[in-house]
Amino acid sequence: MPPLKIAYFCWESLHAVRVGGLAPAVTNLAEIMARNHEVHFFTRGPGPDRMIQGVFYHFYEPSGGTITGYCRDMSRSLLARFRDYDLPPFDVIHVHDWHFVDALEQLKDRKTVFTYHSTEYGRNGGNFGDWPEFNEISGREWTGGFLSGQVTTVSKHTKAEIMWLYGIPEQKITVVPNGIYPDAYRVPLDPGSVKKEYGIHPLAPLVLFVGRLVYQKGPDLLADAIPLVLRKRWDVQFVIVGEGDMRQWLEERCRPLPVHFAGYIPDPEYLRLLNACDLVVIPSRNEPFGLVLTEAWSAERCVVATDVGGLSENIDNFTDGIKVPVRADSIAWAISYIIEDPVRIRSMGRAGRRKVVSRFNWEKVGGMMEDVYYRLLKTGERK
Amino acid sequence: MVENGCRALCIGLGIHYPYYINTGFSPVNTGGTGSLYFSPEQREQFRDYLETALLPAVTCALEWLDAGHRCSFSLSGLVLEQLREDDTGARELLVQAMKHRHSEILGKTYHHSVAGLFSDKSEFTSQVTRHTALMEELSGKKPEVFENTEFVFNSDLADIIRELGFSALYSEGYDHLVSAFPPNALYSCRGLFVMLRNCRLSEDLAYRFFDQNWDQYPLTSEKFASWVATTPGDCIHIFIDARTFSGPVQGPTGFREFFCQLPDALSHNDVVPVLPSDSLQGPSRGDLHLEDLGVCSPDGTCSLTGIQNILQQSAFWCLEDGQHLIIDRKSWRNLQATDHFTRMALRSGSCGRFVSSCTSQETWEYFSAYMRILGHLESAGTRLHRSRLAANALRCLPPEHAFHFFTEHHYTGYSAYSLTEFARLLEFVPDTVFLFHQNRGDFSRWITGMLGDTTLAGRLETCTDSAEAREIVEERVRDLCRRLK
Repeated sequence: MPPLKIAYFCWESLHAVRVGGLAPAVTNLAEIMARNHEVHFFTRGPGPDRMIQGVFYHFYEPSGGTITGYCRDMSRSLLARFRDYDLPPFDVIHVHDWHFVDALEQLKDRKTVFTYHSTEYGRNGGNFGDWPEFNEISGREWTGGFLSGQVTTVSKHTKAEIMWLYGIPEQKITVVPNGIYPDAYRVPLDPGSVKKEYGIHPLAPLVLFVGRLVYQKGPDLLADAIPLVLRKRWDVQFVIVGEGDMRQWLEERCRPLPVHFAGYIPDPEYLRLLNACDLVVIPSRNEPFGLVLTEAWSAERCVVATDVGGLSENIDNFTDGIKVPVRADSIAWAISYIIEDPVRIRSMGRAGRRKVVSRFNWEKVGGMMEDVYYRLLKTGERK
Repeated sequence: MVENGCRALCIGLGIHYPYYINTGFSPVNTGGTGSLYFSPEQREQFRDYLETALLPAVTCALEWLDAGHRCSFSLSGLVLEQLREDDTGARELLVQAMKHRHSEILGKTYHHSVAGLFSDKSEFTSQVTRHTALMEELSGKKPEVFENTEFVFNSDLADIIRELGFSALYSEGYDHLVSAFPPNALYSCRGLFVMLRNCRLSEDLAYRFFDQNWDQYPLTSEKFASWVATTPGDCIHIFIDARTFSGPVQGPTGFREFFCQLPDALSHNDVVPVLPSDSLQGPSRGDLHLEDLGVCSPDGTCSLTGIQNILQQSAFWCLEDGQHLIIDRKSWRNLQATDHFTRMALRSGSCGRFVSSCTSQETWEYFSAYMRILGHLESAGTRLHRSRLAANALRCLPPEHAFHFFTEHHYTGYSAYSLTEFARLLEFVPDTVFLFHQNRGDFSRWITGMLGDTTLAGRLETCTDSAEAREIVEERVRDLCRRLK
């Protein structure tokens, strides 16, 4: 297979602006591709353009009052930058999520791939909204899927979702899960000493939540579950990592509960917590993929997750995790059930690790994405 | 030793009965005697144990032995102690089984205790020596194979056990999902042979045998023998607690009939019961490191501990610290029995799996009673110490007098039951919690009121952070310990 020249458009990257799971997913994918291909990464952020890990980054700091205006500015400027480098022309243009759909519109005659890492409907907790941004963003998501040559999603669930939301034909869609480097997430340490740093007794079972504190991720469900867990077992402690609109509300809600809000923490600290905790809870209402799941598994942690989206697809119930309905009392039940059984919790963590190594490692996922690119190139000129 | 095609099976019979504590103990109206520490129904309960469990088990085992089959015994000193007052002839029967030429006695701690986990191993050594002496006296045999309480085993213990003259020890054969080592083989570790108990087969007998919902119910001796015969490995080690014999008789046979029929069924399936020391003749399958058992934290501290929750940890620390304070050593040793710690866990069982569960309330009540007794035991001796003040300040406290750490809004999940534990907890008490209590003067008030140490209380008053406070308390504890001696 010939090496390709590939352009990535994504508004998040690990090297500049990082918000959620999108940044590591796209950055790592770009780096894997850069092993065999020439990859240019157009993203927002400060500083001059530079080469990092074999990927050529083009940065721009956009401005704009509204989110849509902001993205329009970002698309326009980075598209101009793209044109500067378009000789020899890029073979494949890969756009991640709706932020760069304006650029995609201009490039609709080229070979394009559009990836849905999530949908606006999903980010809204699986609900439609009636406010202008919701409609505008949904419209752009539709446009992205309609105009691009190939569409990928991170799970079968999202594939089904965009098929009924945006009427995208099935043959155009390929499921390519998010990859992971499992070894990066396993850190040898003494869990007791990490717990102590957080003011937690070394023998207290620790339950970890990681994610943006927004409705989609269901931190409120966890908050409601905590008192029910404590009723069965008083010594469980909780750490909530992440920021979001709901933080203040959650802190109020959890004031009488043994919950520690860690806010945003640097990666090494996150890894320490991940490896020190006894259980990871993912109470999302909608989760296209759920990167936290593969991260927790990489660290051999057992997970309790809601039975939605990518979580539902990837977890084998009671083998490598526990799936529960999107309800606080069900989440509480699963936490109390598994926290009591140290041997089972460990064996589920190990089963998860095995799954990650065999199914979600980047080598494998990168190969799947490469196949999508070559298939796209074979389809011949559009029009 | 075993012909080709035959499978070797080691069956160990565990016989232990602790002194249960008096859960209704109250420090008021004790009249200063130690007798109220332990359950007032102890004698009746032991008698019940004797009739329903110990006697059937030993009778059955004697039948085995007389028929030429092998069986080993793991006896705690506490049982033999309680048998002294007995008149049913159980003691004679037991001694007969111990002396039998086809039986073997395993070494353990006299009190079936957690002493192996103390950082000072002298208590452990003395209990093992005492047990060995008693076993030799009664059976004329010197135990060669060691089986620690709840199979607890770590590298320090391995060295001590070897130095005490044992050639092998038993440990827990965890589920293959957790441990990379299949249990039915012989390993070595630090110059000792290590044998692993087969959890699944042991639990089949101990718990699932009585479970009518089990898909293999009812378990017949023939079926069990065929499982043993098809289990891969060199030698299969199974332990049975004598209490299993007191399980309910339901369905076609009780456990006693099952066990008595087992030798015939085993010989049909070409399984030969052997003694643990016989099984040592095979080659070792390799060095067993504790890391392999899945019980090591990556920073290198390894142990198979029985201490798994906060309550057990507090009780254990107080018990360990009590060794310099307690005058009534006998009661203190009785409190070391692992049974007390099991009762402080929500779920308990063997092989890391749980088999019985109780509510938070029950564990808490047991813990409270235990701490009340331990605290009383320690304070009972204070006036006999050189420094009464030191003994008073170092003693442990019942929950109602302990220091419970709080944030402004909720309980943090840990409490100090003694000054030493207080210092240990200060290592990780967050600043907000520390300042919350310090601003209210809680620390000084507690230390003055409960421990009677006004000097320390005064020193703590001006402290502004927990590290400083910890240093002050630790220094004071060292100072008080010196005064005690």
